[in-house]
Amino acid sequence: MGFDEAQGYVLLTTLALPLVVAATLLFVPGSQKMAVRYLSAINASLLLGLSIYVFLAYQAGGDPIQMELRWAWIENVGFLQENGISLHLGVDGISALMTLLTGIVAFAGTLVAWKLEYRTKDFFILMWILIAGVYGTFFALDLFFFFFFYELAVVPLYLLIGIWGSTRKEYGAMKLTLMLVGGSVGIWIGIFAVVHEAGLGTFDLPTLWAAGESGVFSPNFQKAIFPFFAIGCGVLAGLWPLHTWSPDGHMSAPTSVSMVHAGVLMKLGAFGIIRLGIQILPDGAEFWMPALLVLGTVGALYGAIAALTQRDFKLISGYSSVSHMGFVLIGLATLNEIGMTGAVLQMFSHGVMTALVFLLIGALYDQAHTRDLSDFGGIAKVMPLWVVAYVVAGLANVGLPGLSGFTAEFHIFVGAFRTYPIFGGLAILAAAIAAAYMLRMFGVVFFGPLKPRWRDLKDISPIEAIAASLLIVSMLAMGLWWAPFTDRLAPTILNLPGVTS
Amino acid sequence: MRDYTLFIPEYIAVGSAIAILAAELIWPRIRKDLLAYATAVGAVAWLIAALPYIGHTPGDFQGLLRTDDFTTYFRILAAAIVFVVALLSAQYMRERTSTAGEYYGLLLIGGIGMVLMSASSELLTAYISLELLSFSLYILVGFLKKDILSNEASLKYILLGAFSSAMLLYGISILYGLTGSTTYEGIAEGLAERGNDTDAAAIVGIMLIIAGVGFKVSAAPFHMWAPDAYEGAPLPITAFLSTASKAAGFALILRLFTGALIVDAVEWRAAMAALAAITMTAGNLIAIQQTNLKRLVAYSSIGQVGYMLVVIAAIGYGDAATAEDASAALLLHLVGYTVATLALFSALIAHYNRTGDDSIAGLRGLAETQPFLALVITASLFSFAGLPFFAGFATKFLMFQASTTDELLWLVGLAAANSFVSLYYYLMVMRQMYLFEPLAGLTRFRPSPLLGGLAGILLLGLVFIGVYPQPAFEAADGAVSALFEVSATGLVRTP
Amino acid sequence: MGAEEAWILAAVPAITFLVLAATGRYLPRQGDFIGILAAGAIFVLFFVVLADFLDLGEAAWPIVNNIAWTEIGEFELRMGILVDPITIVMLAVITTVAFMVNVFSVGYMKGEPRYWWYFAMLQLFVASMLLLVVADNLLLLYISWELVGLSSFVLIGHYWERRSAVEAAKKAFITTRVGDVGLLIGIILLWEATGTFNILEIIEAVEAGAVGEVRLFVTMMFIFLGAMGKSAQVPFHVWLPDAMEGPTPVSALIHAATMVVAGVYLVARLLPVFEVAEGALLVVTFVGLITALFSGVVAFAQTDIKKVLAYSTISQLGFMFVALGTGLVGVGMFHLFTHAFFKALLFLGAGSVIIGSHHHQEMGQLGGLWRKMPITAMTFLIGSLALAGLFPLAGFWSKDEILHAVDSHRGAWAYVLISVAAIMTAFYTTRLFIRTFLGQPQDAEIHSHTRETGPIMTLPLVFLAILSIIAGLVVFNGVGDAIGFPGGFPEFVFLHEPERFHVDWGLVGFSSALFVIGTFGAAWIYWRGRLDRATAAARWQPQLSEMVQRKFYFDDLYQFAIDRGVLGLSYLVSWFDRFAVNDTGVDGSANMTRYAGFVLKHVQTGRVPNYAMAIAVGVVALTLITLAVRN
Repeated sequence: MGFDEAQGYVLLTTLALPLVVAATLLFVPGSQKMAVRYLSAINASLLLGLSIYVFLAYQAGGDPIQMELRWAWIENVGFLQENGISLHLGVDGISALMTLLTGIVAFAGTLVAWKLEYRTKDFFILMWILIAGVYGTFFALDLFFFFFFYELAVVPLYLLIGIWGSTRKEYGAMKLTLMLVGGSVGIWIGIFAVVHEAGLGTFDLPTLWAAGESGVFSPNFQKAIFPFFAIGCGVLAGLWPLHTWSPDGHMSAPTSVSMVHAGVLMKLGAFGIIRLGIQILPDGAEFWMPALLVLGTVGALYGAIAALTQRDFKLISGYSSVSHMGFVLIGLATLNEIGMTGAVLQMFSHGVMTALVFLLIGALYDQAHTRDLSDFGGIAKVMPLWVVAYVVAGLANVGLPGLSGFTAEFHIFVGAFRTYPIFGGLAILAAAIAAAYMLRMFGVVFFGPLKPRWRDLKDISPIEAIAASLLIVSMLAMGLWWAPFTDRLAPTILNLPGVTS
Repeated sequence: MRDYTLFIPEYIAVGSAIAILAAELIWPRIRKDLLAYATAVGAVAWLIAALPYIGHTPGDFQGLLRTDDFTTYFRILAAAIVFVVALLSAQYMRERTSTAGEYYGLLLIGGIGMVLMSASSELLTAYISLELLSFSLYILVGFLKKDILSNEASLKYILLGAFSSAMLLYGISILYGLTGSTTYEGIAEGLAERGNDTDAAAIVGIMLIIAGVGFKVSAAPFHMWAPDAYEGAPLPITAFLSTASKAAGFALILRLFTGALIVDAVEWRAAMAALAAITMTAGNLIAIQQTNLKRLVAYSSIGQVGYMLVVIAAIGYGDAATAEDASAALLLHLVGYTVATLALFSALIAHYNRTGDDSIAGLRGLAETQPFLALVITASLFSFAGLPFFAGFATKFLMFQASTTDELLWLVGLAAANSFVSLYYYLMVMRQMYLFEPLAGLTRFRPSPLLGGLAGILLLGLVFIGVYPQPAFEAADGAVSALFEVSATGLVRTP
Repeated sequence: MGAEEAWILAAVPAITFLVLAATGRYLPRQGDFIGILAAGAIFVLFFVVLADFLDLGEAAWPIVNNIAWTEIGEFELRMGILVDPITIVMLAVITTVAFMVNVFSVGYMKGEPRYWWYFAMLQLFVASMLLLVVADNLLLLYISWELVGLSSFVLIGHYWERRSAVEAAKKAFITTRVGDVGLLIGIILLWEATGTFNILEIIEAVEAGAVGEVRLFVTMMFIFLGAMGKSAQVPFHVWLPDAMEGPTPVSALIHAATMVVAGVYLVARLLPVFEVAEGALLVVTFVGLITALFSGVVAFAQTDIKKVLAYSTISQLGFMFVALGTGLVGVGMFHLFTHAFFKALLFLGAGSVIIGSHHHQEMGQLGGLWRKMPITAMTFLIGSLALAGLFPLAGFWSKDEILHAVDSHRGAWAYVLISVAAIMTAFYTTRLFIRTFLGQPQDAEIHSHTRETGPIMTLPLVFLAILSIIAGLVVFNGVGDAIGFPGGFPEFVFLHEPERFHVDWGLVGFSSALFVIGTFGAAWIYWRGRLDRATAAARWQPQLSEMVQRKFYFDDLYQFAIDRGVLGLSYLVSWFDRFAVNDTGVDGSANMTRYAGFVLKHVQTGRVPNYAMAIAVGVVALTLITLAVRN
């Protein structure tokens, strides 16, 4: 067993661990809440470790796909031929970074869910299934399993929001689930078309990529099919105007679900656009990217402007997520190395940043039982740590240098100016508006005289503090010294078909 | 020549059917669930007897019936279905009827009808075996004599069944007139040689046949009997209806269309595609509106039929290889669908035996009162919706992929969209079970060990097929290759 | 350590910031001494750098030192430092004033909330400001540019329990941020054109004609937007007066001496590029002139000491831009240099008044502090005279240089206008001094409690006062040579060729005349703190005075634009999102689907004949379909 294969088993472990834990939890009596929590906490820590390992062990400048592992699943039966469907795992620079993100956010999310009392067991079962789905989607190098894990990551949300959610939870949960699954229909159709067109009787992604480069997919075919992937994944990426699940979904979702969802799941969408859209159908991507660019820009401005006058914390974050994912789309649409690197950096940055924001909102909501900005005022007096953390997150959101947000957005802007200067300018404008809505919220909620009804709010608990500081550290890491990230991303992205320098 | 050894398993089945009838005649007071277990034993014996036929050289009975791996595949399926349904019926029927001998007897006979439908290679034989299944079902559906709904269902089913049989017969006679033969081979050759001036006749004949078999598998707009029949029939029979009779219908369709009608694919494939589209769309859209579980299942199963018809359309459009691959995928999906349905009903019956409530709202808070049943129901509904880890995901994925052809991409897309619509009403059921607290007075309960165990086993099967379909898929592939050894794909005519 | 390690100057306060932010509140005296030590350290270290810089000699200038940062394909980033005379001037200003302010703050902030936090943020600001002036590439410059903005935001909002402070901080951050959008766009455009962020390489490339004229002009205008934002030039000036909500030492350091001149520094740094960009410098002059005049006028009507000083700062920044607009970097930097000292002095003096009078800063409540606070008054007087341009104080020389430059490089119109602005400066400065320190106490109550402040606050005043007197002399070659410079200021800081400074007595006379007009005019109106003449003037031209009072309606205009424009748009978008996109689009389609099911449901009548009919219809329909679309 070679080293790289051994590495492959690391991926397999990372993928299997949450599933195993979920299965184990099925047999833990629901009354044993502590046992459930400790098991989950241990699992989360292990995943964090594994994810960090995967990210570090990914050799910058090595061959694009590393830690490969292939287990034949179904082959040589029916229309399936050699490697028809195989559990083919592996990471490239992009998924390596996304793996790290997943580990971090999952860890933080688990810690935050610590104080959950209602049906704790069921919650963690669903949570771990979801996490497994996320890892799987990032690792999968086989269309079948990509879709398998993609769905696996999306569906638990219905129960997670529907059972443990808050405002209009049933509506939010149903809308979110249906919109996301509806999006996946597009992906599904795209997969059918691509596999049929290739006619190789295999779902193996590298094989299909190779086939694509050898010109199996005619330009017209690519132009016809790319939108299915783009829109299908776009829904999950908060692509305007298919974003409306985001504000409502986030408003309904419980804290840790919001964290994982906005933190990681939305990234699956953007990741899918790269994996399926750009890598399988480069010509189609090139043809459609201007459209995606427009939608991304609209989303970026639209989300930012809409966030200006929201009165609910979570709505603000929901809309700002739309705005930031708009940046991601802009970055991808540039189809040049800088812009796309920026896009992936932004995926990470927005992930940790949003996770932190939702963590803090949750910490406040649990005590205050309201999220209406105008109810608050001057709480910096009673929750200093909370406020500092929130300000850091907010400044990352605003794109302040020294925090991850700037690093990402800067690359996106540069990339955008390369190809579409006007849109680059608009993107920068959107980033400036972010400052407005963030500072407005700071001013109203954190500062000014303290409203007496909040005099006995508690600052964040030690557990939450651990989670928060982990997220803050990762923001600073990317903000101050981004070479480790770009070094891993750049070669991968340069290697993508149709990506210009 | 007459080789009577070809149907030993069916002899066993008939034998046990007669034995059960006799038993009740002799001991009228016999506990009715004993009969159920007897039926189950008979079914097991039937299944075991069928095993040696796997890979056995294809046998031909007078050009009327073929026993090959395809037949065997459905034999095993039929025996399994009968086994499960019998066990499902045990408690349910004991509580509702005084005489159950005919019930279990007819269950077995219906199973045999299914096998013969998969075996027949001649139109009249096919018709007779179809009626054999249908007549047993007519009675079974109306078996709850005191239940008005049950009677109504049965009556509607009989009347419409007769109507559609008439159409089927008319179609058969037209084809006979056109080709001078009723055997599939004969028809294939006849169609291949017919002149272009006979197109109209061919089309009408085939359409009538499609109507006949479409009625059997309840494809829209021939489906309307289904919801009423499902609602009125005893729950186990509803299960039987939605598994056995559909499986049988598709067995017949596959052999007929690949063995004979494929020659004239041009004349029916568009209709078949349209039928598939209408069926899946109508089924899923109407299902959204249902409040009664049985009717919901009825419409969702109609939707499922729509998906399966995509394969038949693909047989019409694709080349021989596509046809074979698609059929194989269809057989696989049939198994997945059957397991899911039976799992669903085992849970529903367990729940119904407790509450006597078959409305969706009746499932309220089941996750609290009976988490296991809730889990089983969830699993099977998710399997229908095609979500990961359950049979439905893998089998549906493979089936759609296999039937993707350049001309049918739109239909496959529609199917994918439909399975998304279906998720909505499956989630509405989930909602009742998981999001709401149970109704007042409903406390935690445990299902009867029999049903519970059954549900558990079926759940495992569901997950197994979902996670490792390779064996089932290979079996299906083998069965289909047997089917295509005698297929008429060589003679396809181009007008 | 030498000039090549100038980044250490920024590193020291950065580390101090981390230490204070982490441990400050637990330390004795909340760790203020650490802040002072750090400030003193960089004050000393600056001279080390300076010595090394001078030793290396002109041949070695500019001194650069950078390292590879990241690389994406051929998109490379190098981060490093660039030390040349301009940098040295900035370093001198920042380290000196920072040290003074740190010391002064110990007295001023005594017993204020979040004392430790205040010192921590002070260090963060100093660190980012020093980084800004040593940065050798525009990206690093932008990064520190934003960081000074951040620390300014935090410090303005130090008393965040006060709504006004919060609003002011918000206003400052967002207003400057608007400019920063331009700056970032400009930087990226420059990178697009030259393929590098390194300042020297950019200058080289541009002078080699790498960028088309129009494009370069547009680019530089974007960059100048950033400068206008930070340096509070019209119409971005609105944030600076409000920024006076912050603690007064902060106003002295950030909003008088250092951060607000970052814009000037930026233009000076990129002056060669501005020169190549046809017409860009004319714009710079214009903006500078308008600002100088406008804020000079507004300063007349201010009654709050700090507000007067704020508008005076804006006006002086205008002077600096006018100077740079003439293309003479030395002149602009010289005024920046001298202005830093006397303006810091004036602000700290104001701070001393505020403490001495127990937090009163309205001229209407003060007056006659001369006897109560002799040292403060004396130093304040020196500062005022330096600002007003009394021969031979610091301000005089730099203003003289500016007049000279405008005279020789711009038309008479500019010369006239800048002279008027100079008169205004003298006028409002005198008014400020008289109404605060001379005449009768306006409020006996306050006056009776007023005491001179302690040495910890007065010593920095004295020190800065001395600088305000002598700093201007560095313009003379003799002085320059004496300290080891290659001659006087204009021979040290120059763009193309060094200029030898020589006194033009005619000009001296002229500018002294300006000084006299302004001073005596103000004295005549306000002598002994009388207001009747002023009110008479106001009554004589009510509309005009109203307009001046309302600062030419800028704030009202912006407020209107934000409420009606931006927020209105936001409400519109939110409404659209709810009703059009969500309720109509998403829920709508869902409802349509449900409705379709509802309709279809009714096909299922439950009556057998209909069912049979359906079957028949189905057969016919299928047949027709086949006939329609077969093969």
